Amino acid sequence: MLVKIASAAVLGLEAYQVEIEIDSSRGLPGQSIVGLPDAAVRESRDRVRAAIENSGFEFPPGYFTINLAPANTRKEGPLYDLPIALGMLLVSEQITAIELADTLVVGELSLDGGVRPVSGLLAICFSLAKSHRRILVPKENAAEAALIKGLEVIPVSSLKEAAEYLSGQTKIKPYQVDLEKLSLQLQNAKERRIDRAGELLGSHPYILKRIWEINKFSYQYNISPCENCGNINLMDANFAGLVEIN
Amino acid sequence: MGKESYEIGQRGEDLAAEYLANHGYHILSRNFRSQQGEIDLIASDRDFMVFVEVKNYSFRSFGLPSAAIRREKRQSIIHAARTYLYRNRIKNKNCRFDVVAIYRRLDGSRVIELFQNAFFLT
Repeated sequence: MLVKIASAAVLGLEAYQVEIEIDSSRGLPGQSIVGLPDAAVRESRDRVRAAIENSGFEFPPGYFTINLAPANTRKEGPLYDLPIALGMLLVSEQITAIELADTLVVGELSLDGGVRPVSGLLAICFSLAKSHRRILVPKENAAEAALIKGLEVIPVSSLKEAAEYLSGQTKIKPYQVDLEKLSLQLQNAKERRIDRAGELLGSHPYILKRIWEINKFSYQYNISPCENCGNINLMDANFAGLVEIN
Repeated sequence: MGKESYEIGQRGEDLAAEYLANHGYHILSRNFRSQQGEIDLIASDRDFMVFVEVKNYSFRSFGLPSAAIRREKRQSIIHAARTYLYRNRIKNKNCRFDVVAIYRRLDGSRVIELFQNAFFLT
């Protein structure tokens, strides 16, 4: 029996689709994850086991081969926990999926079956909005994912909720943000930040111009400003190659 | 292993086999050995092939007993299980590793505990 679920991996500022294939066979119990997983991905089997059992499902018997295709790129991070767990439930026929077509799934699992936020969603949504229709994301990430138009963002807070959604038992309203209102807020925040920074630095025109540039880039590179002074962290900016720190 | 501890192990296996039989297991083999491993009991439970490790604690001196099995022991059991499946040409059957822990309470009464799905291939 074989099940495929689509997920994503981040490469730099871009993302690409990762297909998670789960094959079950009878035999001695166990599982192996192939497709160049890093340690966080390999550890997901322990989280998945605990999460499935603590969500009221049964961890299926047999041997499972989990392949993260394409197999030649290294997969990092815990964002494959949720798709792997859903795949295990599908492959053991504990749930049936009627909502799986064109759907991406990302999310880290906690041992109690809850879904934790992951990083890199903006890049994932941005790169894959054209090729997919829907994405299941951790609830905490919904606002971030909804910034990109063209994807139906389904926020889930637990494995059980995700399973019920996939099998059509419950409906979840897609998360939406008012982009116009948000951009206005961002604009205001940006101006405030520049005013504040100008005050601090003595309003020298060159410094103001430099700050404006850095702020512009900070949006592009997703660098968040300091909460107290409104300035962006010079280390972050340095990391993104915007300034040099001597 | 001395004769005494061997007998303790034997007694434990007798008890475990009886306990499992009462719980619907069908005992297929006892003390199965392969070149690098051994299994105390092999049984079938409904659709499952079950490989059982019996842990018999003859005395209580190290606190509460656990069903924990060291990695070397797990590997020995897994090796023997593979050999058994291969020799008997068993394919397409779901398997399980169980542990039976037998110990005495402080008041002397005997406790038999069954841990299903105690471990799996790593």
